[in-house]
Amino acid sequence: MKRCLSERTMWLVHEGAAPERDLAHLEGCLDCAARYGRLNEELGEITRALRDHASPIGRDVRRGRRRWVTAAAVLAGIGLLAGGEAVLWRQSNALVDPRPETTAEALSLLEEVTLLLSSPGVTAASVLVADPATVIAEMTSPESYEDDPIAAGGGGGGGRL
Amino acid sequence: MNGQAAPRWQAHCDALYRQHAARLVRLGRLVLGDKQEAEEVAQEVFLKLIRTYEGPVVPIDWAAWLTRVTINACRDRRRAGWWAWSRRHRAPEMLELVDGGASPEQAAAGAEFGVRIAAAFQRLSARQREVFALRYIEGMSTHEVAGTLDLSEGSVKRHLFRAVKYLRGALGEIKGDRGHR
Ligand SMILES: [Zn+2]
Repeated sequence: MKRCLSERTMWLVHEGAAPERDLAHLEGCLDCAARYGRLNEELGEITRALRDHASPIGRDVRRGRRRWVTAAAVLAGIGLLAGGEAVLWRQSNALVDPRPETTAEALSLLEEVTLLLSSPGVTAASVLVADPATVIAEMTSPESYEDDPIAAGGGGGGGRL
Repeated sequence: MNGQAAPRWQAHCDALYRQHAARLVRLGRLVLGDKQEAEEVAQEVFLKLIRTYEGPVVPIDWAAWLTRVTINACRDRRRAGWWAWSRRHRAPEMLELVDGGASPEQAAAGAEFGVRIAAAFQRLSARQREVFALRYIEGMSTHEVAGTLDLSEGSVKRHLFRAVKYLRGALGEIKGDRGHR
């Protein structure tokens, strides 16, 4: 029997990128099968730990959502002031930046507002919005992000883990 | 709003936010190692989305677009001068412990394991963090990772394997430490 698989080859098997002869070895070698099992298990542990650790928790989710809803509402408000959605977001086939000046100005203002909202002590209600009642309702909504965007198909591709 | 439906762009952008914001914050946090930075990057990306959005039918993959723009925004932050200064003055372990969002309850319940894995992850190179996060956390194929990062597949595999090897070593040490307590 061919000598046992290297760590890299084992990982290539995991990635589905190892040649047939290495797969055949893995099937016939108890040692390599055990090592392969450990690789799978450890990668799973690492991935779960990183995913859990880095995923935003409830209060962060709500804060991010507040900022986003306010920013979008501010832009909608600016759109209404500037004459409506058609002015801001009209279709264009141009390859270069097709946005009218108004949009550029609106976005610049919006970025300033977003920065302002990042500051402690500033509430969304103090900012011009299209419909404050809608924004406040959105801000208090507990549902913000979808539970698991990965499971929902975000990001594309299908990992093994 | 006031009896009117929300504008189409707003509804679509909001749907994209709901679907992708959490994963983009997570991706940014893994790549940058800083929760606050990651949240700011996500906001930046969604403002850019509004900028880019032009109509109801847009012939591109928004999920892939958001991922790529997030990675680029993280790179821009890393390139900024103050970022290097900030990283020098704050150890990743402390960043994650202090700013990391782990509640005292979580910490008490054994989040130390996650903190230590995350700290090991932050010791990888920036490129290794990107490929690992996209491949194993985002679930992209090696081919998709290569496309997103403008790398060859061979290069993605090299970075990935080194990252996996390092992290498995770190996992072994963490488990060893736990076993000796
Ligand atoms: Zn063997």
